[in-house]
Amino acid sequence: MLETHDEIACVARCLKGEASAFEPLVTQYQRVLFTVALRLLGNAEDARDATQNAFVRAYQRLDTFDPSRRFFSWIYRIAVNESLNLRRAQRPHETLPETLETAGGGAIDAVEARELSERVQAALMTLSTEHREVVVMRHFADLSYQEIAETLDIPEKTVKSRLFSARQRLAPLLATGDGR
Amino acid sequence: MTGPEFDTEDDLERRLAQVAPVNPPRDMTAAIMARVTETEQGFSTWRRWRRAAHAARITNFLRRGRVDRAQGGSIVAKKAILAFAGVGAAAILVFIITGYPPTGSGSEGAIGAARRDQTAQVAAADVKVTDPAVQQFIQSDAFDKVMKDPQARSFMSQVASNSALSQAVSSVAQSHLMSNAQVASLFSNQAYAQVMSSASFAQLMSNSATASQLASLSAAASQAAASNAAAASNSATQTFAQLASSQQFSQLASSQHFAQLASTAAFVQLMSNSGFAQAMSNPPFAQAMSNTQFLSALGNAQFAAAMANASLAQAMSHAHFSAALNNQSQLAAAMQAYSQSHSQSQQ
Repeated sequence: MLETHDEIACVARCLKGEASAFEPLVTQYQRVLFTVALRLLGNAEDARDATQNAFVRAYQRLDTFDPSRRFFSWIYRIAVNESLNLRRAQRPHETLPETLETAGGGAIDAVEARELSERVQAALMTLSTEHREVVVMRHFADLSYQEIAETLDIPEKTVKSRLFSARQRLAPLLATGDGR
Repeated sequence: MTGPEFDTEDDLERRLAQVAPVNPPRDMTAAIMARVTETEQGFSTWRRWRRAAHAARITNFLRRGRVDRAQGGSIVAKKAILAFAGVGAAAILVFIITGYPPTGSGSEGAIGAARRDQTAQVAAADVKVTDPAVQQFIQSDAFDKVMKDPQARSFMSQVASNSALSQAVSSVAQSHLMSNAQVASLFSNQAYAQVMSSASFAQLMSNSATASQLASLSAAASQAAASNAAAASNSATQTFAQLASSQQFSQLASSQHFAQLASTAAFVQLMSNSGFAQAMSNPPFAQAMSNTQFLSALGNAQFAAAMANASLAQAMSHAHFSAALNNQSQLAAAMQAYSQSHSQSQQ
């Protein structure tokens, strides 16, 4: 796990031309960014493209990175923008493909997990981008209210209010035994 | 919020928590790093320089952060300093508003002088290059090479601050002299540099009569080459021999300063150099030699030494070099900013 000053040191090395110094940053954030992209786009292939593009775009624009801000907040915004651009440019979303790897579990668990994942994804896709964003960050990227507020550059109060509204809309869709 | 809503929220939390985390594809790191490496290789020199400058700023930021953490114990002392500064500021404010205590006459001049000295130092970020020619030139590889060469850098600084020298260099650049391989190789010839920077040559050039003779000699060489193209291409040395037997040359040779110069080993070596002969028969060279500003600049030892510099020769063959020279203030500012950033990135 990289500390903030380690991240900044990696950025400085990258800026000096040492591309390999970017790898720890990729390893650190690819999972969370991929998850966010996946939940925003609803398609693993697109999520993969968006995540890759986000990292490459971030590398290209490292000379605009402000070290007084969190690296994650910065790259997160890039990843969200990439995802939204891709979504705008592409076909209507598809459900999560079978090839998607989830962490752990047996064969039956895997089937159930996939069903649940698809159901949650379908529910998420009914939300507006603003609402979906906060749900994804809170529940799938495990960010605190404060971190979400910093990342989205909005007040913490707005985060809570958006999250509340989003949950209100999601709750009936994901209630036990009455999904779709 | 009512009871059933709480139940629904709890249920929702549970459902969302049950969704298994998703792992990115296994080869994603490798794919990203391959694209990143490719991106890094595709950066231009200018972009690399800009990124290195930002790296220096980030490194400074990190260093400051470490110092701040290390000095965590002195926060109280910092607060005391801030409080003291606050009291001082308040006292000055009271003095400005109430005019108490009264000051004696004669202090106004001192305040005026102090204010004149308050001008902030020019920082790299303050420099805005708006002229596209200057911008294009300083983004070129040639400029980068010149700026990494201390001798060329000092010469360029002098050019940017000296209008006469700037005009001379500009006229050389405009005559496309440096884009000619023969002349460029002559300028990077050690013997030529020695002759040009010698005291005898400076004396020779300080004499307007001999300088104009040398110019007309060069023009004659050019004419000879043009009228006898076959001879020029087959044997440049022959053209030069023809030139040496000319009337202008004999007049020049009779000059006392020329005699002094001719006795130096470097001059002898230069005269036996076929590259020199070829360059002498070159029209742009003749054009430059007939330029009074160029001739007067030739007497400048630093100019001569700079002319022998290969990176400067490359820079001078750049199309935007002369345009950049015409915009001296921007060039000087850009060079200052470049030097500052370069030295910072080296630290």
